Amino acid sequence: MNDDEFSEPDFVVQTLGNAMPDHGGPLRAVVLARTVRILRRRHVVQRCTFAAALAGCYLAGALSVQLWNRVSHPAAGNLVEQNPVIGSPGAPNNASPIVPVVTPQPGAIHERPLETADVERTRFEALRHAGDLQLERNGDLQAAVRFYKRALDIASKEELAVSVETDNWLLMSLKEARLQEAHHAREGG
Amino acid sequence: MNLNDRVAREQLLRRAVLDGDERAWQTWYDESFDELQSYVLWRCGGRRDAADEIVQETWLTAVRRMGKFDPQLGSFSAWLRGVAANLVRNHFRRQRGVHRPFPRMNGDPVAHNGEGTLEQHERAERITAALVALPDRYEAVLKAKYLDRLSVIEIAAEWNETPKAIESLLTRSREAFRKLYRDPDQDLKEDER
Repeated sequence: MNDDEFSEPDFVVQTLGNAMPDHGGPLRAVVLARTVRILRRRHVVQRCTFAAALAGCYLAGALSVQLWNRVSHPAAGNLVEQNPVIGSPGAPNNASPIVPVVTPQPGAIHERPLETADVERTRFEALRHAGDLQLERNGDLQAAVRFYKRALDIASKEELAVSVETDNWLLMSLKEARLQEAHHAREGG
Repeated sequence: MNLNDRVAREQLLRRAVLDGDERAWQTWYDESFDELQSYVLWRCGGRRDAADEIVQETWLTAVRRMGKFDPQLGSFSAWLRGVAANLVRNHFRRQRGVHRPFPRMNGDPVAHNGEGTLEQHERAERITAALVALPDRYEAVLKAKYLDRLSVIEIAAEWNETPKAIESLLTRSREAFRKLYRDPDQDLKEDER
């Protein structure tokens, strides 16, 4: 058999005939326009989805930071009224059983940026700052006294001086007690 | 273009289209439109109205489901033809559900009077029905022979078969087509497949 037999007029050839494409017809342009519209719409949806995902990640991160701050640093309102455990030698003479509530003074610790990460601190300042945090944020008097005492142990003469503008009542009391000790030690010795 | 080049090129185009590149899409569109339209016209028995609808639906399906096309499994043209063949089948089944079934034909259909739009319409529907009912391999060899205009030797080379095997396949395909054209509802016997 050769190929010529299949080129004879044949039912199948006649039936199937010629299927010629329509080169110049409008169908081509119409279909192209419709498909390009779908392509553009999908591209816009993809971009919006990506932007929404980024925004979601940002919000999740911000929320995590807020939750972390609340858990690790519970809000401290006014100072807790509690009996100071100041039976120690450094306790002020006029200590009353109830610690008076200290309202924020201008320039007081509350208004000072306590967590400025870029401030270089000396060791004295770092210990003092830690004491401030314990007193202001956590209301932990004992811890504050410990930090302040360690700070005063290494304080210079200038740093030992009481400062009405920057020292809180506890630090002032401890500084005064330290100064009185030094004075008694000089007179006694 | 060898297989690896074809796969690499189509993977790049596919990625570009999925990223929204209109030029990549138009490249593919311009390369494949004529071939697809010829194929769909063939499958629809020359009925241009049905063919246009299916061509349009094929391209819309292709752009929506581009993510499912895998160049390693076959060429973009072959994938388009597969989509079109399914649409033709579904279109035909919907129409057959609406219209009455074809009457069985006696004698050679060529002798049937082909004049008149109603008869042309029915003739085209019979062709479509016969092609839909043909096994894929029969339809493929008839397409290669009568649509792509390949010779037996060219088909044999492309399919990695002997010319004798292709001739035999063509004979069986044409016979099966005749039978289905006369009676689209009949089932081909196992040896006729």
